[in-house]
Amino acid sequence: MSASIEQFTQSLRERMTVPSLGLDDDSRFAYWLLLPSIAMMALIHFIPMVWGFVISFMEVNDSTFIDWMSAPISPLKQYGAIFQPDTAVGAEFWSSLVETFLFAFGTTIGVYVLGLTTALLLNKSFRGKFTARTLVLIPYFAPAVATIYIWRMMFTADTGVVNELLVWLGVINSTDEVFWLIGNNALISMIVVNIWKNFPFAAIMLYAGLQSIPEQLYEAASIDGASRWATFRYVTLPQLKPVTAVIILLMIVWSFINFTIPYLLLDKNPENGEVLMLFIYNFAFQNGDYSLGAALSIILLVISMVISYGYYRATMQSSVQGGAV
Amino acid sequence: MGTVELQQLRKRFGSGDDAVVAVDDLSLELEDGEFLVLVGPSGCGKSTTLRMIAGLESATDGDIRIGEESVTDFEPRDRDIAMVFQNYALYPHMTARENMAFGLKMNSSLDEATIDDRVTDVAQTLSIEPLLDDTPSELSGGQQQRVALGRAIVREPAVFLMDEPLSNLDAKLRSQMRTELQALQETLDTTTIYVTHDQTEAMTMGDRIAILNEGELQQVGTPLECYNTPANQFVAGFIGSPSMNFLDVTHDAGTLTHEAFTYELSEATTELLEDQTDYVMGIRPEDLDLTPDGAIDADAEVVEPLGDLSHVHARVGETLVTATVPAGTQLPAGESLTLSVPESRLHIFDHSSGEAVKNSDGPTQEQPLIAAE
Repeated sequence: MSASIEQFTQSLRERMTVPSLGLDDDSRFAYWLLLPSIAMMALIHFIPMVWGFVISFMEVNDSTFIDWMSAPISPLKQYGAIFQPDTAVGAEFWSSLVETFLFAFGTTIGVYVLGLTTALLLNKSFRGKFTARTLVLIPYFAPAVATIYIWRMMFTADTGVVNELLVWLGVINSTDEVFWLIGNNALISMIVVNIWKNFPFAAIMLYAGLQSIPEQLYEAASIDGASRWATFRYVTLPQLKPVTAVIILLMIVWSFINFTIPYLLLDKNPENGEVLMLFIYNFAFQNGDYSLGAALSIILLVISMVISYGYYRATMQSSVQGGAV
Repeated sequence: MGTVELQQLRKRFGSGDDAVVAVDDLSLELEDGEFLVLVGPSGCGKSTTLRMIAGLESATDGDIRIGEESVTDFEPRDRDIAMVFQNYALYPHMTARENMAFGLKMNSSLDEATIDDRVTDVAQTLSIEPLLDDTPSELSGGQQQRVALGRAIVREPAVFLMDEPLSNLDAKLRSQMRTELQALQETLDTTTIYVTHDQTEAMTMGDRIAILNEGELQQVGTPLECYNTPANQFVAGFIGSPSMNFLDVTHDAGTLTHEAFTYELSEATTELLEDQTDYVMGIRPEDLDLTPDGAIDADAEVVEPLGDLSHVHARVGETLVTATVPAGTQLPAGESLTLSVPESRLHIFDHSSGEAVKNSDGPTQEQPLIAAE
């Protein structure tokens, strides 16, 4: 098998006469093999990013979209509007940014706490562990549209099962139904659904991390006299630091760019809970102001990058050594 | 008081037909300050025994007493022990100082300053003071070993438990650490139970050796006792390097007969042998002499020069034996030679039970180099 692959690649190399580009033979061949993937990445990611960046300095909207290259160039108009509180976009930008931070913050804490609890439970020996591990993964792999619509039905004020449950538990009266999808509760609902959707990812990552902590460290801790809490605090948590750092970073970034949950759960144009992704969508595709949408996207990108870099500097570099990765 | 007593200790893993008895009916007593080496081949139950003493494994039956108290059902932290692990088990995210201080922080009411002083004192003893702010990943294997030792010493426990602590070090460092550990144990005078599969460590380090095989205690004694008066064929073969040579013989009226030679026994030795005929003759390599008129005919196979001496591997009938000869001895492969062994150095074992019937007259206690006036 491997001989035939070698023969195939060898004959491929002989047939492909490619420019050297100053690279050695192996590197050049590797780049040519990677070219289709790089081309796809460029098409799907890089070109739209560059195009978005370009039009954020123009005035591309519904009327100029067809012939966007001849749209007026106004370098700072969009960015200026975003940061001026008396404009339509500027009036809501900051509140939307705050909503986004709260969404990311709430999600990250919830996903980590629930994921860690689940991982610690999965790390115990019990019957049906394999089944439990599989069941835990369902939210992560279930189709987002279907599950988010089910959550929406569950959160419906008059017929939803969430209010029904709260009434049954005696938390609220049957006449005081809670409006989960509008008002201030919308943000809580979004966070709950996002936690539910993403905690399996954290659970499995942390479970893998727990599995890789050497048993001898726990034995050493028990001989050193550490209580169960102290063992968790001084052995388990520090050993999970690298994997924790990755989860937190990903959760922050994924929450910042999450569009599916706010869009499907709250509908397109909610009064509250309009996180930046939805805010951008509404300006770009509902109002047809593509340049404004592009400028907002660039700001979101910069914010995400700054947070990620800062977080990386603060935690990842120091925590990669000596822990369960 | 750091006395340790194991009473009919037993450990069974699993149940029913799959049950494995790792330690069976083990009884041992250690005096305060004694250095006992638990030695045996892989799977003999030595580590399981140590882990039961530490409280990391529960005993199926029997009792463990440390000092005057039965600690069989105690948590590890309540047993007043400290353990050094084979892979050191240092906390990778803590500095050497934090590693050493952790046990005291968890298990004592000492204030931070006192803990820090004690850590520094122990670090000075072990010559690792400059390394205290390094994490384990910044330390070499030998340095990690010292930190692991320091972590145990700083707690001033009644008993040290060491589970093959030198096995991850290279040969030179192992030899150096062996000496240091012995000196340290003598200075601290703390009861120590040391597990190893390396018979050289067992011979050189312990006040006494306990030899285990298949979960059962074979012999407890000083290194010289175990070497010169082994209780059975297993101990005789396990202690000593190269191993003792074993030759199957039959006995008839004071004569031991092997397929390649016969050996006449004195009356005194003959009296030790019972009515049965099958025995195993045991000869240490250093007791086999290469002499022109030896009783044992052999054919040379290989000579291993070690510098200070050489090992000759020769075939006696179908059995390969090893003899220690002076350095520089040259023997072409296949050359016929004769070997002799004085009867006083001969070991004889019962063929079926393996029990020693006769042992050599080697010393069983260390002899003072300079006689006391």
